[in-house]
Formats: sequence, structure tokens, C-alpha cells
Amino acid sequence: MNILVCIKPAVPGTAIRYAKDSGQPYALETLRMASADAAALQFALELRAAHGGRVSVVSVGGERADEWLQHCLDHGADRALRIDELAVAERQDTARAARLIAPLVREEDVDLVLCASRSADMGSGFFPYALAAAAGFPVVTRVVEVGVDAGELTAVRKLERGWRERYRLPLPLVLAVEETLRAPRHVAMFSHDHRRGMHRTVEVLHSAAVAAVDASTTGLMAAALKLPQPRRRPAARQRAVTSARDRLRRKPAGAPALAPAAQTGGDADAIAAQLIAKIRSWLVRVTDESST
Amino acid sequence: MTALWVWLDDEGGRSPGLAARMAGECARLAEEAGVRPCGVVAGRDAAEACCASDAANGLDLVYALTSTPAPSAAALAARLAAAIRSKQPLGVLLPATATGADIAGRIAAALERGLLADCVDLEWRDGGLQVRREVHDRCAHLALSPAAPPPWIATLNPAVAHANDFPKRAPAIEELGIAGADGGDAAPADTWRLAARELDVMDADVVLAVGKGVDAGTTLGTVFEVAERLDAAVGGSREAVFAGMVPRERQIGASGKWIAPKVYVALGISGSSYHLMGIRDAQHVAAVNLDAGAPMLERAEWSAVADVDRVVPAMRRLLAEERK
Amino acid sequence: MNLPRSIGVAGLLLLTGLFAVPRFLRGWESLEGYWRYAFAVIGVSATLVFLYGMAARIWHWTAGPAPARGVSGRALQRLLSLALLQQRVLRAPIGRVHAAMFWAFVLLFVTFSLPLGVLDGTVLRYAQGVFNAALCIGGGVLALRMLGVPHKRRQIEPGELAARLYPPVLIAAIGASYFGAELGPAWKLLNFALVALFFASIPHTRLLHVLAVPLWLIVRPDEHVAVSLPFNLAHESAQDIVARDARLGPRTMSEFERPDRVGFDACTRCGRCEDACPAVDATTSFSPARVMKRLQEANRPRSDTAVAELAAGLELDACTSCARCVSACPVGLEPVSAILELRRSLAYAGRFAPGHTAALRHLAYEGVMWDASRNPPLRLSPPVAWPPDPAAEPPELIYWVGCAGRHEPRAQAIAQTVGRLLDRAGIRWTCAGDHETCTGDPARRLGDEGLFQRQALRVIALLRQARTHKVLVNCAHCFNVFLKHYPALDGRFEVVHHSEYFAELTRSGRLGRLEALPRKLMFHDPCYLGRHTGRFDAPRAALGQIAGLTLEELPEARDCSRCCGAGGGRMWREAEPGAAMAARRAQQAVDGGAEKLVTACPFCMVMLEHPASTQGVPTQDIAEVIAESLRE
Repeated sequence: MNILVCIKPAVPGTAIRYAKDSGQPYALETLRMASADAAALQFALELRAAHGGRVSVVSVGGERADEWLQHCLDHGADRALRIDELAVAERQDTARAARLIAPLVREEDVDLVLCASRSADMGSGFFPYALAAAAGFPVVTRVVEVGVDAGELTAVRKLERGWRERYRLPLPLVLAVEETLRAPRHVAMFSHDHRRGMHRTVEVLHSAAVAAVDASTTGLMAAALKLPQPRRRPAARQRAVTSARDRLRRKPAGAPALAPAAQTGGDADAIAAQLIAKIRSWLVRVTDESST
Repeated sequence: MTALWVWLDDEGGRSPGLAARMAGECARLAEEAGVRPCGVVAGRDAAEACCASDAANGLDLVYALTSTPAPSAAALAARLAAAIRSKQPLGVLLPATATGADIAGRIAAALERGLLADCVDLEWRDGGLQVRREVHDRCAHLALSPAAPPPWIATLNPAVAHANDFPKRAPAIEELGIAGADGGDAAPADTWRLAARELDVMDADVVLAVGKGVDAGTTLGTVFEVAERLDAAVGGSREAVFAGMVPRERQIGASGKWIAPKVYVALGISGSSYHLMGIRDAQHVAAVNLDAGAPMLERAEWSAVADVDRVVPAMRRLLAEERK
Repeated sequence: MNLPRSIGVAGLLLLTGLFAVPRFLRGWESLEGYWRYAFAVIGVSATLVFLYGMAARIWHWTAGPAPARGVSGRALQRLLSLALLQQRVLRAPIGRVHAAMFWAFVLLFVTFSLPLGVLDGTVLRYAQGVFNAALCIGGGVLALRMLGVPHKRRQIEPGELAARLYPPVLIAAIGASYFGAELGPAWKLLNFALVALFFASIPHTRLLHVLAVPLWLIVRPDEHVAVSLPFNLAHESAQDIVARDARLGPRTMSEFERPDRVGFDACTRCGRCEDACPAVDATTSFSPARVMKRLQEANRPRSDTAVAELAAGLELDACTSCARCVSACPVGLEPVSAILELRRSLAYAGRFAPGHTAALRHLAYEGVMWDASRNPPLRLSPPVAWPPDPAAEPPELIYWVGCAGRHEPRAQAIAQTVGRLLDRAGIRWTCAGDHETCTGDPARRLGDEGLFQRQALRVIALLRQARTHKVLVNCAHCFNVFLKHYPALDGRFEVVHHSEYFAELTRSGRLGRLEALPRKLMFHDPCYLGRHTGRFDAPRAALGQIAGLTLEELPEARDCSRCCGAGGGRMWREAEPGAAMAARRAQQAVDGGAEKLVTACPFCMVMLEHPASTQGVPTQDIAEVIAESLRE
């Protein structure tokens, strides 16, 4: 089974700093491999161990990504490729990255493309769809469990609130995985795998040589990073509502100070009945707030 | 006059009220942009259901894609993309749920547009759409706007979608009759909800957490049964993890998971500052503890000084009686 | 030409000749007729069996790679105290029996090896009877004890039991048969035969320790809790290391160095390490004695056993590297060093315990074990900003906050106290703030030596900007790594632990006057401050300056301090991250009636605080106690 793992070394949240004077966020020049990327690679290596084949890792970007591609080689990938292209990040053009990778999918005779459900920096989650469209493969995203059985693949997709969907699909396809799919290994320096990886080098391809991609329609225009701030209130149609930011944090800032409410006494049955009623009323109230 | 579309779907009842909130967002944005707010649903039945409930308030028109049910998200996306091509709306708004994002991703790829995914703010500024997204692990926001000509595709974080407070009215329904252009992807073979024992504390609306006050031998099993009935997940304090009551991935607190459920119930947890850090973003907190001076009770919105080992079995009995 | 091998074999022949010849002559002379020939046959064959066996052992010992270090003068001191004086053996009551037997045996050996006629008429001649009686009684007592005392972790099978009983029973028999010698030549020959059997068995049974232990004491590394350095990133590049195929940990048994091979044979499987080990009670199968036993069994010529396979199932991730086994070992073996070596072998094979994988990955990616997004770092504001201005006056010292002090909420409070105390004493200090990373110590403890060295070199390069060599730390692990491990990587700093430093500051009055603090405190010795680096008295001295304060000792204190369960990466382990060990230690303080449990390491604090405070004993760092006693 030939597997292509697409990774995006990205600036993690811990590398975001805030300017002392203006408070504006800025990103340090640190790249990290996201846990979901590592999970995808780990899963690919396990599939190779079970079914044979080849694991290639690819990334689109500047040479700062090489460190992490080498890291993938250390983990046991057979090949690591970087498509040298900076415009993707500048133009927020996920589709362009996908179209640059698509020819590789054909050339390498890939059975399975693995990537993270979303990147660690921009995190739009659009890449797997764009790549599936460019390569003509089916796609399943948010995958938390995979089983492979005789050319057919079973993937469990994670929805909200504990819901799951199971898909059965023939190969080839694109799977976008969650970080919980596999716990990645740690490869110690000078371990067996690391030594083998040191003998391999990252191959660099120039984007123009890979594919001619016109990116005029697929990009987005981005402004500078901003401080996370509450959403402005909608034109006051009826009543003030809690701000969007507070909703994201799921705790109303304007909510009354959490005064210790009167403690309930009584026997166990009464307390149990009250607690159940309370839980239900809170759940309903949350829904009410949103729907009324 | 061009239109702004919104995808109306309550995802098989899994996301109650979602369609109504999305409709409200669409109507508000359309008002700013001066375009017609229109809803899109999969079929006629769904359209009628939307109009009957509050879900289509504020919308001018609801499109029903076709009468035959779509077998999969890919098929649905293919039909929606076909509809967009033929009707040329200004943009399409979808909820950034797993299902909504799946359709949005496929449409954007099919229409060769960028995806404005998981936005936390949408506004109409200088004659164009500007969105705001959380980036870099929520440490910063990024303002984005579509670079290409319409239509643009955007998904909105359902947590920020404001309530639909438009007056109730029934918009017209138009059937588009898109041919069953089916994508290659299979439909989900099955859909299910995880049992309380498997449900992650990050994914649940209700989280029951156990601490040292819970008897690992007798009450712990009952807590799981109660959680099952309440669709809740079970977590634990650091002490519960050390005592082997719950596995480490269910530890709630500074060194474990930082959860943000709608309801958090602390059972026999004294509430160390590390633990309270982990539930900072919980919306409602209830606590049951024998020690009246436990910090957990101060943090809680509702609390009871009682023996957890008696309250939890009582809850199980009450919930079991309800079912009958 | 293998020099140690030649020396070893020559020495063997020389010593055997030196000691066997007088013994032979004596026997030859005291017997007559056929008894004489029977004696000669027994004597010669026993000598040959001994020589063959010992030569084979020496061959095997010297077949390993040579260590970088030589033999130092401290070997003699070790021989004297550990072997001759039986210093550590005597710590356990049963050790007295062994010591009596050992001394009796040595004296007997000397008297019998002296030229004929020297002893005639001297008191020693008569003392031989006493010595033999000691052998007889001692052997009997030891054998009985072996039958009676169970071991926590090792199922003693019948074969193993027989092997264990053989030496004491044989020795007892030698002692007893001596007294039959007057009964006739047959008895005399029996005595000779048993003695011959004793020598012949040395290379083939656990009696090997009588030769392996002294040899081990000569060749072992001088430093306490030694960690080998298979490569050094300060002096060679990663490519060079791979090119010369330097090991990470031993891949096969044949890659163990010569002293290690002797050491494995020196273990008598007495089980004292297991009895002392605090991790044994809090795990399912881990035991330092099991580790040593498995290594000893695999320590065979031409063994190509993969060490990673050997180490599997030993639950090595449970070790907290507290080094109590090192203090406990009567013959100066270091099971913890063997465990660290085996962890490297596992790291080479890519095997880590689940929690350790995550922790190491985090360390490799972020440079620190803690998740900075969940545990935002503490920001101190020292009087001298980082990096110190080259034009201005250089700072007096660098305060190295450490990862816990930067990220862990309780330890952050300690770090702030340390900062306040420094300010109060008017010290011109600085700290590296956001540039601080992990010292690499956890990586070394978990077997990723390369990651340790990479981190260490970063830290060393960082601190070289500071224009001072004095580093203050408040973490016992940082202290140990700065003191003992950085010099090998060219990181030479004058490192001082805050307990020492504040003791000094209070003594000199720089901190101001201390108020009486009428409390009963108990001090928990952090393993890395006590056993690893020998600072037992400094923290006690610091506390001792506070008037009214009663400092009582915990049941297991100083050299025998019971580990809190955090060290050796155990804190990051997934299954039982040391909580049971911490609870046990906290219980000791509660039972001892402490009003406060004081420690001097943030990791001990993290572990002990909860179990102690829930039972009404608050925990404090030594800096906090001093801060509390300062008069405003």
C-alpha cells in the first residue's frame, strides 16, 4: 500500500506573542509538527508494517519545513518531499497547495492519502477536500478510527457530542485524521530509526516544475493577526445578548458573580431529584438562549 | 437582486435549534449587504418542517434541492453546488459543525473557491464580506475576505450564531429539482452515539466528575449508569485518577483536560485550585459533597451537602422510574 | 593484544600458585600412603577446575569494550571500606554473620597460605579452631535465613534455592569437618576435599562474588550514581557519532563495558536493593534485584541477546532513579545506573512507556515538559535584565528558575519567594526568563541521551551570555545536572542550591533578622539533593538558624530518604505516576506528628502537597519557611 502523508509544519499557539505596547499578537518564526500530522504519519507507518508498500511525506512551503520533513524521515518515512512554494501561505491558498500535491498522488501511485483534519495554525480544514477534488478521490475527514480489510477501508468519523459515523470505502481515498487516531512515537536521537533517517534527505521540488496552477480564484485575502476580541453585538433587534466571545468560552461574562447559592439540604432522594431537575433546566435554558 | 443562502439543517435532531440560529445570522447579514436571505434545504419535507418551526424566520425564500433523499454528504454537496451554479447567489453560509463543514468543504472544492471556515464573526464592510477566524490555537484572530468573485462559501461557528429573533413568518418554498448528481462517496454505514463510558469529557454537554468522596467499589458503577441516562461523560479529579477510578485521559484540571461543558456536576470533589482551573469555562456547575467547607461548593451554582454514595443511587432510581 | 586480559590471567596464575602451593605442601605432609595420592588428585583437579573457570570469566570480562576512564586511587579506599571492613554489609543485622564469616575466612586463608612452620606455636595456630567454628555457625545461620525469609518480587524456584543455599552450607561443612580432622586421615581428607570444592566452585557458583566484588570495587567508576557517556555532542557532531556507530545504550549483551560485566557477576542477589526500593511497593513487577538478576544471567560469553528484549517486561519505567538501591547495595553496585543504561537500550529500539513518549515528544518539540498553553510561564522581574548588558556591572548570580518553577502553579509560588528573598538580600541577580528551557535531565533519565545533550548544550550556551558563572537553582534535579552532568559537556558553572545559599545569606545577616518560628517541622530529603549530590546538612543548617523551630527527622531520612515518586520520569508515567509513593511518604510525616512538611525541590512539593495537606500537614519549601521567619 503506497501512502502519501501531507503535513503542514505550522506556528503553534505557544509561539504567539503579544506586542508590549499595542498588545497586537505576532507569531514567532517557530514551526512545529502538529499532533494530528504526527498521528497521520504514525498510522501510515503502522499500515506499511502490516501491508507493505511505501510511505512518502510531502509538504508545501519554504525551507523552514525541512526540519520537520527530516523529522518524518527519522520516524521511518521512506521519502520526504517539499514543494518549494511560498505563495500558498501568503495568499491563504489551500486549494493551490492541494493542486500542487495532486500530481504527486498520481505519479507515486498512491492508494491512500493521509493528512490532518485541520492544520495547527490556520485550521480551516479545507485541505483534504481540495486535495480530494484535485486528485479525484473520495474523502472522509475527522477520522478517529480506521480499519483496513482487503482493499476496503472502514473509517469512523467524529461528530459533535459523542456522535460517530462509520464509512466503508474502497481505496484509493483521502483520509483526514484527528490527533487521537494514534499516539505518535518518540524517536530518540541516535536510536535505530533516527540513524536510518539520517541517511535520507528531503527532496525539494519547485512548484513550477510540479504543476502549472492558476490560483486566481481560490485564495483569500488576510489582514494582520488581531487580538481575540468579542464579536460585535448584532444590531440590537430586541435585547442585549451575551457577546460571541463569551459564548465561545461558554461562560457569560455579564453573568451574576457566582455567589455561593444556598446549599440544598434534605435527604438523598430530595437532593437527587433536585439535581436532576437542575441539570435538565440548565440544558434547556442554554438551548432557549440560543433559539429564542 | 442577488441572494445570500444559508444551509438549514438540524442534523437529524442532533443539533436542535441550529437551523433557526443560522437563519437568523443569514437574515442579519443579508440585511447589511442588501441582498435577499434565502434558505436551502435538502428536500421539500425538510423545507416545510423549517417553515413550520421558527427555523426560517427572517428568510425570504427556502429552496428545496430535490425530492429524492441524498445518499451521502458528497451527493448533497454535489446537488448544492449544482444549485449554486445555476442560481448564482452572492454566498453560502453553513454551520461549522462536522456535517456542515463536510458539505462546505466539498462545495468550495467543487466550485473552486477558498473556504472561509469556522468563522466567529461575519460582517459586511466596504461592499464586501469580512470574516474573523480563530487561528493559532485560539491565540489570535485573523480577518479574512474572499479574493475571488462570488459565490463565496463560509461556515460559522455554531457557538457564536445568534438567536433568530426575527418575527415568525412562513417564507415561500421553491423546489429546484436538481438531478440526483451523486458523488462517489458512500453514505455512512451507521451512525451512533458513544456510551457514557467511552464519551470524552471534551465532547459532552453534561460532565459528571468523581473525586475522592466517591466509593470506587460501589458508587462508581452507579455514576456511569446515571451518566448513561443523562447522556453525560464521566471525568475525575487528579485524586480519582490516582485512585484508579477513571483513566488519565479523563482527568479534569490544570494538568488534565480543560473542559467547557454546559453542565458540570462535581461528585465528592473538594475542588483544589488545579481542578477549578480545568472547569473555568463550564457554564453551570453543581456540586455534591459531604464537607460543607469544600471550595467546590463555593464555585458551584447549585450545591448540596450530602453523601454522594447515597445521592447517586437515588438519582439512578429516579431516572429508572422515569423511564418506566 | 588485550592488556587487561594478559594481566588478569597472569595474576590469576600467580596468585593461585602463591596460595595453593603452601596449602598443597601442608596437606601432602600431613597425610600418608594412599590418602596422600587421593589428596593430590583432588587438589590438582580442583585447582584446574578453578583455573579454567576463572580464566573463562576473565576472558569474558575482558572481551567487552574498554571504558574511557582508568583506575583511580579511590579504588583502594573502596576495597578497604566495602570489602575488607564490610562497611555496608554490616548495615543489616544479618550482615554481622556475613562479616564474621568473611573475616574468619580471610584469616584462615592467610594462615594456611603462610609457609610451613611459621605459625607453629603461635596463637593463630589455635585461633584456627575459632575461625572454623565461626564459619560453621555463620554458614548455618545464613542458610537457615535463606530458607526463612521470603523475597517480595522474586519467586525462588527450587533450583535457585539450592544455588543460594550451596555456599553457606558448603562453608558450614568446611567449618564442621575441620573439627573431625583429628579423627583420622579420612576426615582430614574430607576437610581438604571440601575446601578444594569451595575453590573449584568459585567461578561456577554465586561464590564468584568473593573475587568479582573486589575486582568490581577496583574498576568501578569513581562517581556516585555514574552515568556513562557513550558520545559527547560537545566534541563531536551527530554525523560523526553515527559514522563511528557509537551506541546509545548497549544493543546486545556484548556491548556492555568491561567493568559492567564484572559488576553483574559481583551481585550476590541478596535482595537489599529490592527491600530498599520505594518503587517496588507501588508497581506490579518492577524490582532492581530482578533487573540485576536478569543481567547477571545474560552475562555470558558470546551472548548476542538483544538488550531491549532483555529489558522488556522489567517495568523499567517505574524506577524513580532515587538511588536508594545504590546506598543499599553492600558491594557498591549501582542498579539505578544499570536501569538507566537499559532505558537507553530501549530508547534505541524506540520503546518508551506511553506517558514517557508524550513527555519526551513535548520536550523535543517545545524544549520543556510542561504544556505552556495550559501552564503559562511565570515571569520574574530580576534587577538585571536578560541578557545582562555588557557595559554595565555584571550580575552576582543567575537564578535558574527551572521548568517546574516556570510552569507549575505551586512551584511558581516558590520561585517568586526565592526572587523576593534575593531582592531583600540586595543581590544583583538575573534570570533567563523566556529563554529558559529544560536542562535535559528528564531526557537523560528516560534514556534519550542525545536529547539530553542537545538541551544541555543549549542551556550552557544560553548561560554563557550571563557574564557570571554562579547559578542558583531551587530544584534538586537542576542542581544535580548542573553539578554533576554539565562539566562533561564543558558547562562549568558554580552551582548553588537555594537551601545552601539561603543558609549562607541568613548566617551573614544579609537577609535581615529572623523571627522565632515555634513549629515542629520535618524535612524530606529530595533524592537528588541528598543521595545524588550529598547535601544532607545544608538544608538542615538553613532551618536550624530559625529560633524556636524544632526539626525532627522523618522515619526514613538522609541517606535512606523515601522517594516522593516524581523522579526518573515517573511523574510523567501513565500508570501510577508515583501517587502511591507520595502518599506513603506523606503518611510518615502525618504519623510523625509534623506540623509542617518541608522540602527543597519543587517536584517533591508537587507530589507531596496533596496527600499531606489533605491530612492536615501543610507542605512548604525551605525558601518559604525562611521567608516566613523573616522579620518585616
